[in-house]
Amino acid sequence: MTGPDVLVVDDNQGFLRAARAVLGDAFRVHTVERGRDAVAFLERRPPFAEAPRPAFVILDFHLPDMDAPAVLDALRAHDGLARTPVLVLSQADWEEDARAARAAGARAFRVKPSRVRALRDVVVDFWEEHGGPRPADRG
Amino acid sequence: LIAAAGLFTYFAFVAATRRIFLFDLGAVAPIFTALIVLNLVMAATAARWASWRRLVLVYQAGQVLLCSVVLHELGGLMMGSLLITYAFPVILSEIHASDGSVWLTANLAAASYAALAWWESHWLADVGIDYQQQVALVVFAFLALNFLALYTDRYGNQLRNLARHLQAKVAERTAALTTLNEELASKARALEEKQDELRTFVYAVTHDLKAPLNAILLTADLVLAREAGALGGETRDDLGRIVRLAGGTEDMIRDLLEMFRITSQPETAAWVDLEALVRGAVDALGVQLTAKGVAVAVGQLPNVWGQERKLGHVVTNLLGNALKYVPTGRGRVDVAGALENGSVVLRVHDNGIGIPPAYHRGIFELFGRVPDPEREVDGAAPGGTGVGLAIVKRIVESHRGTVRVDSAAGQGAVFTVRLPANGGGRA
Repeated sequence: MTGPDVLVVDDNQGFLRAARAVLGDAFRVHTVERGRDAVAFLERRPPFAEAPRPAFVILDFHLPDMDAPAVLDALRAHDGLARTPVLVLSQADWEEDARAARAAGARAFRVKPSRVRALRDVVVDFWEEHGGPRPADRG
Repeated sequence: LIAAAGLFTYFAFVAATRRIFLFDLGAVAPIFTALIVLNLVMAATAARWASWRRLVLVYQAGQVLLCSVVLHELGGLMMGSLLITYAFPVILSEIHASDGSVWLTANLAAASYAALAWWESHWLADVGIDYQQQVALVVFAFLALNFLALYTDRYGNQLRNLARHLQAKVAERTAALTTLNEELASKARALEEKQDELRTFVYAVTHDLKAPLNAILLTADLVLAREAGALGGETRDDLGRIVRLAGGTEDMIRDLLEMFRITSQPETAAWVDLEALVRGAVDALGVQLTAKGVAVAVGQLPNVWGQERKLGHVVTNLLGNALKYVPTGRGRVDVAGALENGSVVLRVHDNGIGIPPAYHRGIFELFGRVPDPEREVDGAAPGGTGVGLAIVKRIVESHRGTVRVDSAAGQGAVFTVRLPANGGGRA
Protein backbone atom coordinates (compact mmCIF):
# COMPACT_ATOMS: atom_id res chain seq x y z
CA MET A 1 0.00 0.00 0.00
CA THR A 2 1.26 3.43 -0.93
CA GLY A 3 -0.12 6.94 -0.98
CA PRO A 4 -1.56 9.16 1.73
CA ASP A 5 -2.83 7.59 4.94
CA VAL A 6 -6.59 7.63 5.32
CA LEU A 7 -8.59 6.60 8.36
CA VAL A 8 -11.99 5.08 7.56
CA VAL A 9 -14.41 5.02 10.49
CA ASP A 10 -17.49 2.85 9.97
CA ASP A 11 -19.31 0.21 12.00
CA ASN A 12 -20.22 -1.87 8.95
CA GLN A 13 -17.46 -4.40 8.26
CA GLY A 14 -18.76 -4.98 4.75
CA PHE A 15 -18.25 -1.32 3.98
CA LEU A 16 -14.75 -1.32 5.57
CA ARG A 17 -13.77 -4.35 3.51
CA ALA A 18 -15.03 -2.71 0.32
CA ALA A 19 -13.33 0.56 1.21
CA ARG A 20 -10.01 -1.22 1.75
CA ALA A 21 -10.35 -2.97 -1.61
CA VAL A 22 -11.56 0.08 -3.54
CA LEU A 23 -9.18 2.65 -2.05
CA GLY A 24 -6.24 0.37 -1.29
CA ASP A 25 -4.39 1.02 -4.52
CA ALA A 26 -4.38 4.79 -4.06
CA PHE A 27 -4.23 5.25 -0.28
CA ARG A 28 -2.89 3.52 2.82
CA VAL A 29 -6.25 2.63 4.35
CA HIS A 30 -6.67 2.26 8.13
CA THR A 31 -10.01 1.25 9.57
CA VAL A 32 -11.73 1.48 12.97
CA GLU A 33 -15.32 0.69 13.88
CA ARG A 34 -16.09 2.97 16.79
CA GLY A 35 -15.98 6.70 17.41
CA ARG A 36 -13.76 6.45 20.47
CA ASP A 37 -11.31 4.23 18.54
CA ALA A 38 -11.18 6.90 15.86
CA VAL A 39 -10.33 9.54 18.46
CA ALA A 40 -7.72 7.26 20.07
CA PHE A 41 -6.23 6.50 16.64
CA LEU A 42 -5.92 10.17 15.82
CA GLU A 43 -4.53 11.01 19.25
CA ARG A 44 -2.14 8.02 18.96
CA ARG A 45 -3.27 6.60 22.25
CA PRO A 46 -2.91 2.86 22.93
CA PRO A 47 -3.61 0.58 21.23
CA PHE A 48 -2.90 3.02 18.39
CA ALA A 49 0.36 4.45 19.78
CA GLU A 50 2.21 3.57 16.58
CA ALA A 51 -0.51 4.80 14.24
CA PRO A 52 0.47 7.20 11.46
CA ARG A 53 -1.11 10.62 11.29
CA PRO A 54 -3.75 10.26 8.52
CA ALA A 55 -3.94 12.85 5.73
CA PHE A 56 -7.72 12.76 5.94
CA VAL A 57 -10.57 10.91 7.59
CA ILE A 58 -13.70 9.26 6.16
CA LEU A 59 -16.27 9.21 8.92
CA ASP A 60 -19.66 7.48 8.98
CA PHE A 61 -22.32 9.71 10.49
CA HIS A 62 -23.85 7.00 12.66
CA LEU A 63 -21.48 5.05 14.84
CA PRO A 64 -22.60 2.81 17.66
CA ASP A 65 -20.96 4.92 20.38
CA MET A 66 -20.83 8.45 18.98
CA ASP A 67 -22.20 10.31 15.96
CA ALA A 68 -19.99 12.22 13.55
CA PRO A 69 -20.41 15.66 15.18
CA ALA A 70 -19.28 14.20 18.53
CA VAL A 71 -16.16 12.71 16.95
CA LEU A 72 -15.48 16.00 15.16
CA ASP A 73 -15.87 17.93 18.42
CA ALA A 74 -13.32 15.64 20.04
CA LEU A 75 -10.90 16.25 17.16
CA ARG A 76 -11.35 19.98 17.19
CA ALA A 77 -10.19 20.09 20.80
CA HIS A 78 -6.70 19.11 19.55
CA ASP A 79 -4.52 21.67 17.88
CA GLY A 80 -2.82 19.04 15.78
CA LEU A 81 -6.03 17.40 14.58
CA ALA A 82 -8.32 20.34 14.00
CA ARG A 83 -7.04 20.79 10.44
CA THR A 84 -7.30 17.18 9.32
CA PRO A 85 -9.92 17.16 6.54
CA VAL A 86 -12.91 14.99 7.40
CA LEU A 87 -15.40 13.60 4.87
CA VAL A 88 -18.65 12.55 6.55
CA LEU A 89 -20.66 9.82 4.83
CA SER A 90 -24.26 9.06 5.68
CA GLN A 91 -26.95 6.69 4.46
CA ALA A 92 -29.28 9.56 3.65
CA ASP A 93 -28.89 13.24 2.84
CA TRP A 94 -30.75 14.51 5.88
CA GLU A 95 -30.31 18.26 5.94
CA GLU A 96 -30.11 18.34 9.73
CA ASP A 97 -27.26 15.84 9.72
CA ALA A 98 -25.42 17.69 6.98
CA ARG A 99 -25.76 20.94 8.91
CA ALA A 100 -24.64 19.34 12.17
CA ALA A 101 -21.62 17.74 10.51
CA ARG A 102 -20.55 20.95 8.78
CA ALA A 103 -21.07 22.95 11.96
CA ALA A 104 -18.80 20.52 13.79
CA GLY A 105 -16.07 21.06 11.20
CA ALA A 106 -16.61 18.42 8.51
CA ARG A 107 -15.27 19.56 5.14
CA ALA A 108 -17.93 17.64 3.22
CA PHE A 109 -21.08 15.59 3.77
CA ARG A 110 -22.04 12.96 1.18
CA VAL A 111 -24.51 10.13 0.82
CA LYS A 112 -22.54 6.90 1.12
CA PRO A 113 -22.01 5.54 -2.41
CA SER A 114 -23.08 1.97 -3.03
CA ARG A 115 -21.05 1.30 -6.19
CA VAL A 116 -17.30 0.78 -6.41
CA ARG A 117 -16.78 3.45 -9.02
CA ALA A 118 -18.89 6.03 -7.17
CA LEU A 119 -17.15 5.37 -3.86
CA ARG A 120 -13.76 5.83 -5.44
CA ASP A 121 -14.85 9.05 -7.19
CA VAL A 122 -16.29 10.57 -4.02
CA VAL A 123 -13.14 9.87 -2.01
CA VAL A 124 -10.69 10.91 -4.73
CA ASP A 125 -12.63 14.11 -5.45
CA PHE A 126 -12.63 14.92 -1.76
CA TRP A 127 -8.91 14.31 -1.42
CA GLU A 128 -8.20 16.38 -4.52
CA GLU A 129 -10.24 19.28 -3.18
CA HIS A 130 -9.18 19.24 0.45
CA GLY A 131 -5.87 17.42 0.58
CA GLY A 132 -3.27 16.77 -2.03
CA PRO A 133 -2.71 15.86 -5.64
CA ARG A 134 -4.89 13.38 -7.46
CA PRO A 135 -3.50 9.93 -6.73
CA ALA A 136 -2.42 7.82 -9.65
CA ASP A 137 -5.42 5.93 -10.96
CA ARG A 138 -4.46 2.33 -10.93
CA GLY A 139 -7.97 0.94 -10.52
CA LEU B 1 -71.81 58.23 26.01
CA ILE B 2 -73.82 60.36 23.56
CA ALA B 3 -75.69 61.88 26.51
CA ALA B 4 -72.40 62.59 28.26
CA ALA B 5 -70.99 64.21 25.12
CA GLY B 6 -74.15 66.30 24.73
CA LEU B 7 -74.06 67.43 28.35
CA PHE B 8 -70.40 68.21 28.10
CA THR B 9 -70.91 70.36 25.00
CA TYR B 10 -73.83 72.15 26.62
CA PHE B 11 -71.97 72.99 29.79
CA ALA B 12 -68.87 73.99 27.90
CA PHE B 13 -71.13 76.49 26.18
CA VAL B 14 -72.46 77.54 29.59
CA ALA B 15 -68.96 78.05 30.91
CA ALA B 16 -67.95 80.11 27.88
CA THR B 17 -70.93 82.44 27.92
CA ARG B 18 -71.48 82.35 31.68
CA ARG B 19 -75.14 82.03 30.91
CA ILE B 20 -77.65 79.27 31.45
CA PHE B 21 -80.92 79.76 29.62
CA LEU B 22 -81.57 83.46 30.22
CA PHE B 23 -79.80 83.69 33.55
CA ASP B 24 -76.40 85.14 34.13
CA LEU B 25 -74.23 82.67 36.06
CA GLY B 26 -71.72 85.33 36.96
CA ALA B 27 -69.15 84.37 39.53
CA VAL B 28 -70.43 80.81 40.08
CA ALA B 29 -69.93 79.77 36.44
CA PRO B 30 -66.45 78.24 37.06
CA ILE B 31 -67.71 76.31 40.11
CA PHE B 32 -70.72 75.09 38.18
CA THR B 33 -68.66 73.99 35.17
CA ALA B 34 -65.96 72.38 37.31
CA LEU B 35 -68.67 70.41 39.11
CA ILE B 36 -70.13 69.18 35.83
CA VAL B 37 -66.73 68.15 34.47
CA LEU B 38 -65.79 66.43 37.73
CA ASN B 39 -69.09 64.52 37.68
CA LEU B 40 -68.60 63.41 34.11
CA VAL B 41 -65.05 62.26 34.86
CA MET B 42 -66.20 60.40 37.95
CA ALA B 43 -69.03 58.75 36.02
CA ALA B 44 -66.63 57.66 33.30
CA THR B 45 -64.19 56.22 35.81
CA ALA B 46 -66.80 54.74 38.14
CA ALA B 47 -65.06 51.36 38.31
CA ARG B 48 -61.97 52.92 39.90
CA TRP B 49 -64.01 54.29 42.80
CA ALA B 50 -65.63 51.00 43.72
CA SER B 51 -63.55 50.61 46.90
CA TRP B 52 -64.07 54.25 47.92
CA ARG B 53 -67.85 54.09 48.38
CA ARG B 54 -67.96 56.13 51.62
CA LEU B 55 -65.76 58.86 50.17
CA VAL B 56 -67.97 59.04 47.10
CA LEU B 57 -71.06 59.39 49.32
CA VAL B 58 -69.44 62.25 51.23
CA TYR B 59 -68.58 63.83 47.89
CA GLN B 60 -72.23 63.51 46.78
CA ALA B 61 -73.44 65.19 49.93
CA GLY B 62 -70.88 67.98 49.49
CA GLN B 63 -72.03 68.36 45.93
CA VAL B 64 -75.68 68.69 46.96
CA LEU B 65 -74.73 71.50 49.33
CA LEU B 66 -72.57 73.16 46.71
CA CYS B 67 -75.44 72.94 44.20
CA SER B 68 -77.70 74.60 46.77
CA VAL B 69 -75.21 77.45 47.15
CA VAL B 70 -75.03 77.82 43.36
CA LEU B 71 -78.82 77.80 43.20
CA HIS B 72 -79.00 80.43 45.90
CA GLU B 73 -76.42 82.64 44.22
CA LEU B 74 -78.32 82.42 40.95
CA GLY B 75 -81.41 83.89 42.50
CA GLY B 76 -82.78 81.24 44.75
CA LEU B 77 -85.95 79.29 44.17
CA MET B 78 -86.93 81.71 41.44
CA MET B 79 -84.87 79.45 39.27
CA GLY B 80 -87.13 76.44 39.65
CA SER B 81 -85.74 75.02 36.42
CA LEU B 82 -82.31 74.80 38.02
CA LEU B 83 -83.60 71.94 40.09
CA ILE B 84 -81.88 69.95 37.34
CA THR B 85 -78.59 70.77 39.06
CA TYR B 86 -79.45 68.16 41.65
CA ALA B 87 -79.81 65.52 38.96
CA PHE B 88 -76.04 65.16 38.77
CA PRO B 89 -75.36 63.92 42.28
CA VAL B 90 -78.42 61.66 42.08
CA ILE B 91 -77.36 60.00 38.81
CA LEU B 92 -73.75 59.82 39.95
CA SER B 93 -74.66 58.04 43.17
CA GLU B 94 -76.51 55.43 41.12
CA ILE B 95 -73.52 54.97 38.87
CA HIS B 96 -71.21 54.52 41.83
CA ALA B 97 -73.30 52.32 44.06
CA SER B 98 -76.11 49.89 43.51
CA ASP B 99 -77.51 50.20 47.03
CA GLY B 100 -80.11 52.75 48.19
CA SER B 101 -77.67 55.67 48.15
CA VAL B 102 -79.55 57.10 45.17
CA TRP B 103 -82.59 57.70 47.44
CA LEU B 104 -80.41 59.17 50.12
CA THR B 105 -78.85 61.60 47.68
CA ALA B 106 -82.19 62.55 46.10
CA ASN B 107 -83.81 63.29 49.47
CA LEU B 108 -80.73 65.11 50.75
CA ALA B 109 -81.03 67.31 47.65
CA ALA B 110 -84.77 67.82 48.26
CA ALA B 111 -84.07 68.68 51.90
CA SER B 112 -81.49 71.26 50.81
CA TYR B 113 -84.07 72.66 48.48
CA ALA B 114 -86.54 72.92 51.35
CA ALA B 115 -83.88 74.61 53.50
CA LEU B 116 -83.28 77.09 50.71
CA ALA B 117 -86.98 77.80 50.52
CA TRP B 118 -87.05 78.45 54.29
CA TRP B 119 -83.94 80.64 54.02
CA GLU B 120 -85.35 82.68 51.14
CA SER B 121 -88.94 82.69 52.45
CA HIS B 122 -89.16 86.45 53.08
CA TRP B 123 -87.54 87.38 49.88
CA LEU B 124 -89.82 85.05 47.95
CA ALA B 125 -92.86 86.61 49.59
CA ASP B 126 -91.56 90.02 48.51
CA VAL B 127 -91.66 88.99 44.85
CA GLY B 128 -95.21 87.65 45.18
CA ILE B 129 -94.67 83.95 45.86
CA ASP B 130 -96.77 83.31 48.92
CA TYR B 131 -96.30 80.64 51.56
CA GLN B 132 -98.58 78.12 49.84
CA GLN B 133 -96.71 78.48 46.57
CA GLN B 134 -93.44 78.06 48.41
CA VAL B 135 -94.68 74.81 49.95
CA ALA B 136 -95.85 73.70 46.50
CA LEU B 137 -92.38 74.38 45.09
CA VAL B 138 -90.72 72.28 47.84
CA VAL B 139 -93.22 69.45 47.41
CA PHE B 140 -92.66 69.56 43.66
CA ALA B 141 -88.90 69.36 44.26
CA PHE B 142 -89.35 66.34 46.58
CA LEU B 143 -91.54 64.57 44.05
CA ALA B 144 -89.37 65.41 41.05
CA LEU B 145 -86.16 64.28 42.74
CA ASN B 146 -87.71 61.05 44.04
CA PHE B 147 -89.10 60.27 40.59
CA LEU B 148 -85.66 60.86 39.21
CA ALA B 149 -84.22 58.51 41.85
CA LEU B 150 -86.88 55.91 41.02
CA TYR B 151 -86.12 55.93 37.32
CA THR B 152 -82.39 56.07 37.84
CA ASP B 153 -82.58 53.15 40.23
CA ARG B 154 -84.74 51.03 37.94
CA TYR B 155 -82.80 51.84 34.80
CA GLY B 156 -79.55 51.36 36.67
CA ASN B 157 -80.67 47.97 37.94
CA GLN B 158 -81.56 46.87 34.45
CA LEU B 159 -78.25 48.07 33.14
CA ARG B 160 -76.38 46.36 35.95
CA ASN B 161 -78.32 43.14 35.40
CA LEU B 162 -77.53 43.29 31.72
CA ALA B 163 -73.88 44.02 32.48
CA ARG B 164 -73.72 41.17 34.99
CA HIS B 165 -75.40 38.84 32.50
CA LEU B 166 -72.99 39.86 29.78
CA GLN B 167 -70.03 39.53 32.10
CA ALA B 168 -71.14 36.03 33.09
CA LYS B 169 -71.55 35.11 29.42
CA VAL B 170 -68.14 36.51 28.57
CA ALA B 171 -66.57 34.66 31.48
CA GLU B 172 -68.33 31.47 30.42
CA ARG B 173 -67.18 31.80 26.81
CA THR B 174 -63.67 32.72 27.89
CA ALA B 175 -63.50 29.65 30.08
CA ALA B 176 -64.77 27.48 27.22
CA LEU B 177 -62.26 29.01 24.83
CA THR B 178 -59.45 28.58 27.33
CA THR B 179 -60.33 24.91 27.73
CA LEU B 180 -60.52 24.51 23.97
CA ASN B 181 -57.18 26.27 23.54
CA GLU B 182 -55.58 24.05 26.12
CA GLU B 183 -56.98 20.99 24.40
CA LEU B 184 -55.73 22.20 21.05
CA ALA B 185 -52.31 22.99 22.47
CA SER B 186 -52.02 19.57 24.05
CA LYS B 187 -53.16 17.96 20.80
CA ALA B 188 -50.61 19.99 18.88
CA ARG B 189 -47.94 18.90 21.36
CA ALA B 190 -49.01 15.26 21.02
CA LEU B 191 -48.93 15.60 17.24
CA GLU B 192 -45.49 17.15 17.40
CA GLU B 193 -44.29 14.33 19.60
CA LYS B 194 -45.77 11.79 17.20
CA GLN B 195 -44.09 13.59 14.33
CA ASP B 196 -40.75 13.52 16.17
CA GLU B 197 -41.27 9.85 16.96
CA LEU B 198 -42.02 9.17 13.31
CA ARG B 199 -38.93 11.07 12.23
CA THR B 200 -36.76 9.10 14.61
CA PHE B 201 -38.36 5.89 13.39
CA VAL B 202 -37.92 6.70 9.70
CA TYR B 203 -34.40 7.85 10.38
CA ALA B 204 -33.45 4.67 12.22
CA VAL B 205 -35.14 2.42 9.67
CA THR B 206 -33.42 4.21 6.83
CA HIS B 207 -30.01 3.85 8.40
CA ASP B 208 -30.44 0.28 9.56
CA LEU B 209 -31.96 -0.91 6.27
CA LYS B 210 -29.56 0.93 4.05
CA ALA B 211 -26.33 0.01 5.84
CA PRO B 212 -26.41 -3.73 5.04
CA LEU B 213 -27.81 -3.05 1.57
CA ASN B 214 -24.94 -0.68 0.94
CA ALA B 215 -22.41 -3.35 2.00
CA ILE B 216 -24.12 -5.98 -0.19
CA LEU B 217 -24.04 -3.67 -3.19
CA LEU B 218 -20.42 -2.66 -2.69
CA THR B 219 -19.33 -6.26 -2.17
CA ALA B 220 -21.16 -7.60 -5.23
CA ASP B 221 -19.97 -4.71 -7.33
CA LEU B 222 -16.43 -5.25 -6.07
CA VAL B 223 -16.52 -8.92 -7.05
CA LEU B 224 -17.84 -7.95 -10.49
CA ALA B 225 -15.09 -5.37 -10.95
CA ARG B 226 -12.27 -7.48 -9.57
CA GLU B 227 -13.15 -10.85 -11.09
CA ALA B 228 -14.72 -9.61 -14.32
CA GLY B 229 -12.54 -11.78 -16.50
CA ALA B 230 -12.46 -14.86 -14.28
CA LEU B 231 -16.22 -15.24 -13.75
CA GLY B 232 -18.39 -17.40 -15.96
CA GLY B 233 -21.11 -15.62 -17.90
CA GLU B 234 -23.90 -17.02 -15.76
CA THR B 235 -22.22 -16.02 -12.48
CA ARG B 236 -21.61 -12.56 -13.83
CA ASP B 237 -25.28 -12.27 -14.78
CA ASP B 238 -26.34 -13.47 -11.32
CA LEU B 239 -24.05 -10.98 -9.60
CA GLY B 240 -25.36 -8.27 -11.91
CA ARG B 241 -28.91 -9.24 -10.90
CA ILE B 242 -27.99 -8.94 -7.23
CA VAL B 243 -26.64 -5.46 -7.83
CA ARG B 244 -29.74 -4.49 -9.82
CA LEU B 245 -32.23 -5.85 -7.29
CA ALA B 246 -30.42 -4.53 -4.24
CA GLY B 247 -29.98 -1.21 -6.06
CA GLY B 248 -33.74 -1.11 -6.73
CA THR B 249 -34.44 -1.68 -3.05
CA GLU B 250 -31.97 1.02 -2.14
CA ASP B 251 -33.76 3.41 -4.50
CA MET B 252 -37.09 2.51 -2.90
CA ILE B 253 -35.76 3.33 0.56
CA ARG B 254 -34.32 6.58 -0.76
CA ASP B 255 -37.63 7.56 -2.37
CA LEU B 256 -39.64 6.49 0.65
CA LEU B 257 -37.50 8.78 2.75
CA GLU B 258 -37.91 11.51 0.16
CA MET B 259 -41.68 11.12 0.30
CA PHE B 260 -41.65 11.30 4.06
CA ARG B 261 -39.48 14.39 3.95
CA ILE B 262 -41.62 16.17 1.36
CA THR B 263 -44.99 15.38 2.93
CA SER B 264 -44.01 15.95 6.55
CA GLN B 265 -42.32 19.31 6.02
CA PRO B 266 -44.30 21.92 7.98
CA GLU B 267 -45.37 24.77 5.75
CA THR B 268 -47.89 27.59 6.03
CA ALA B 269 -50.61 28.02 3.43
CA ALA B 270 -50.82 31.05 1.17
CA TRP B 271 -52.14 32.03 -2.23
CA VAL B 272 -50.10 30.15 -4.79
CA ASP B 273 -49.66 31.25 -8.39
CA LEU B 274 -50.24 27.89 -10.03
CA GLU B 275 -49.15 29.11 -13.44
CA ALA B 276 -45.80 30.38 -12.10
CA LEU B 277 -45.40 27.08 -10.29
CA VAL B 278 -45.95 25.09 -13.49
CA ARG B 279 -43.66 27.32 -15.55
CA GLY B 280 -40.98 26.98 -12.87
CA ALA B 281 -41.29 23.18 -12.99
CA VAL B 282 -41.11 23.21 -16.80
CA ASP B 283 -37.94 25.31 -16.57
CA ALA B 284 -36.45 22.93 -14.02
CA LEU B 285 -37.13 19.98 -16.33
CA GLY B 286 -35.96 21.99 -19.34
CA VAL B 287 -32.83 19.96 -20.12
CA GLN B 288 -34.66 16.62 -20.04
CA LEU B 289 -37.62 17.99 -22.03
CA THR B 290 -35.30 19.34 -24.72
CA ALA B 291 -33.24 16.13 -24.77
CA LYS B 292 -36.35 14.07 -25.42
CA GLY B 293 -37.86 16.61 -27.80
CA VAL B 294 -41.03 17.10 -25.76
CA ALA B 295 -43.27 20.11 -26.48
CA VAL B 296 -44.96 21.56 -23.39
CA ALA B 297 -47.88 24.00 -23.60
CA VAL B 298 -48.99 25.79 -20.43
CA GLY B 299 -52.40 27.46 -20.48
CA GLN B 300 -53.78 30.09 -18.12
CA LEU B 301 -53.96 28.74 -14.60
CA PRO B 302 -55.82 30.17 -11.60
CA ASN B 303 -54.35 30.92 -8.18
CA VAL B 304 -54.95 28.41 -5.45
CA TRP B 305 -54.75 28.49 -1.65
CA GLY B 306 -52.18 25.96 -0.42
CA GLN B 307 -48.65 25.06 0.52
CA GLU B 308 -46.42 26.22 -2.28
CA ARG B 309 -43.48 23.84 -1.90
CA LYS B 310 -45.72 20.80 -1.64
CA LEU B 311 -47.85 21.88 -4.61
CA GLY B 312 -44.57 22.41 -6.45
CA HIS B 313 -43.79 18.73 -5.87
CA VAL B 314 -47.24 17.79 -7.22
CA VAL B 315 -46.63 19.75 -10.43
CA THR B 316 -43.04 18.50 -10.84
CA ASN B 317 -44.04 14.88 -10.29
CA LEU B 318 -46.94 15.06 -12.77
CA LEU B 319 -44.76 16.73 -15.41
CA GLY B 320 -41.88 14.34 -14.73
CA ASN B 321 -44.26 11.41 -15.08
CA ALA B 322 -45.60 12.71 -18.40
CA LEU B 323 -42.06 13.32 -19.62
CA LYS B 324 -41.11 9.75 -18.75
CA TYR B 325 -43.90 8.08 -20.73
CA VAL B 326 -44.08 10.15 -23.92
CA PRO B 327 -42.20 8.88 -26.98
CA THR B 328 -38.92 10.56 -27.89
CA GLY B 329 -39.29 13.24 -30.57
CA ARG B 330 -43.09 13.21 -30.65
CA GLY B 331 -43.93 13.97 -27.04
CA ARG B 332 -46.53 16.59 -26.16
CA VAL B 333 -47.67 17.73 -22.74
CA ASP B 334 -50.54 20.18 -22.26
CA VAL B 335 -51.10 21.79 -18.90
CA ALA B 336 -54.48 23.47 -18.52
CA GLY B 337 -56.43 24.85 -15.60
CA ALA B 338 -59.83 26.20 -14.72
CA LEU B 339 -62.15 27.16 -11.90
CA GLU B 340 -65.01 24.65 -11.78
CA ASN B 341 -67.69 24.68 -9.06
CA GLY B 342 -65.43 26.24 -6.47
CA SER B 343 -62.53 23.94 -7.31
CA VAL B 344 -59.25 24.77 -8.93
CA VAL B 345 -58.71 22.14 -11.61
CA LEU B 346 -55.29 21.34 -13.01
CA ARG B 347 -55.03 18.98 -15.99
CA VAL B 348 -51.81 17.49 -17.26
CA HIS B 349 -52.45 15.85 -20.61
CA ASP B 350 -49.77 13.79 -22.37
CA ASN B 351 -49.70 11.76 -25.58
CA GLY B 352 -47.63 8.97 -24.02
CA ILE B 353 -48.15 5.24 -23.76
CA GLY B 354 -51.22 5.57 -21.56
CA ILE B 355 -52.27 3.47 -18.59
CA PRO B 356 -54.55 0.43 -18.78
CA PRO B 357 -57.67 1.10 -16.60
CA ALA B 358 -56.85 -1.87 -14.35
CA TYR B 359 -53.94 0.12 -12.88
CA HIS B 360 -55.65 3.50 -12.48
CA ARG B 361 -56.01 3.04 -8.75
CA GLY B 362 -52.76 1.18 -8.08
CA ILE B 363 -50.43 3.76 -9.62
CA PHE B 364 -51.27 6.22 -6.82
CA GLU B 365 -50.27 3.73 -4.15
CA LEU B 366 -46.82 3.59 -2.62
CA PHE B 367 -44.47 1.69 -4.97
CA GLY B 368 -47.49 1.08 -7.21
CA ARG B 369 -46.54 0.81 -10.88
CA VAL B 370 -47.76 -0.64 -14.12
CA PRO B 371 -45.83 -3.91 -14.74
CA ASP B 372 -42.73 -3.42 -16.89
CA PRO B 373 -43.89 -5.02 -20.16
CA GLU B 374 -46.99 -2.81 -20.20
CA ARG B 375 -45.12 0.44 -19.64
CA GLU B 376 -42.37 0.24 -22.20
CA VAL B 377 -41.70 3.44 -24.09
CA ASP B 378 -39.19 3.62 -26.93
CA GLY B 379 -38.64 -0.11 -26.37
CA ALA B 380 -37.75 -0.08 -22.66
CA ALA B 381 -39.45 0.46 -19.31
CA PRO B 382 -38.25 3.70 -17.71
CA GLY B 383 -36.70 3.55 -14.24
CA GLY B 384 -38.35 4.71 -11.06
CA THR B 385 -39.75 3.25 -7.87
CA GLY B 386 -43.43 4.17 -8.03
CA VAL B 387 -43.33 6.81 -5.34
CA GLY B 388 -43.91 9.97 -7.42
CA LEU B 389 -47.68 9.60 -7.86
CA ALA B 390 -48.07 8.46 -4.24
CA ILE B 391 -46.46 11.77 -3.23
CA VAL B 392 -48.90 13.60 -5.54
CA LYS B 393 -51.89 11.82 -3.99
CA ARG B 394 -50.79 12.46 -0.42
CA ILE B 395 -50.14 16.15 -0.97
CA VAL B 396 -53.37 16.68 -2.91
CA GLU B 397 -55.40 14.89 -0.24
CA SER B 398 -53.74 16.85 2.54
CA HIS B 399 -55.06 19.90 0.66
CA ARG B 400 -58.52 18.28 0.72
CA GLY B 401 -58.39 17.76 -3.01
CA THR B 402 -58.56 14.77 -5.33
CA VAL B 403 -56.43 13.41 -8.13
CA ARG B 404 -57.50 11.00 -10.86
CA VAL B 405 -56.30 9.70 -14.16
CA ASP B 406 -58.22 9.15 -17.39
CA SER B 407 -56.40 6.97 -19.83
CA ALA B 408 -56.29 3.80 -21.86
CA ALA B 409 -53.32 1.85 -23.18
CA GLY B 410 -51.75 3.71 -26.09
CA GLN B 411 -54.10 6.67 -25.71
CA GLY B 412 -52.05 9.09 -23.63
CA ALA B 413 -53.13 10.08 -20.14
CA VAL B 414 -54.91 12.98 -18.44
CA PHE B 415 -54.11 13.54 -14.79
CA THR B 416 -56.70 15.79 -13.13
CA VAL B 417 -56.02 17.46 -9.80
CA ARG B 418 -58.92 19.19 -8.05
CA LEU B 419 -58.17 21.51 -5.14
CA PRO B 420 -60.69 23.57 -3.16
CA ALA B 421 -60.19 27.12 -4.45
CA ASN B 422 -60.41 28.49 -0.90
CA GLY B 423 -58.31 25.78 0.69
CA GLY B 424 -61.31 23.72 1.81
CA GLY B 425 -62.32 26.22 4.46
CA ARG B 426 -58.90 26.36 6.02
CA ALA B 427 -57.88 29.96 6.20
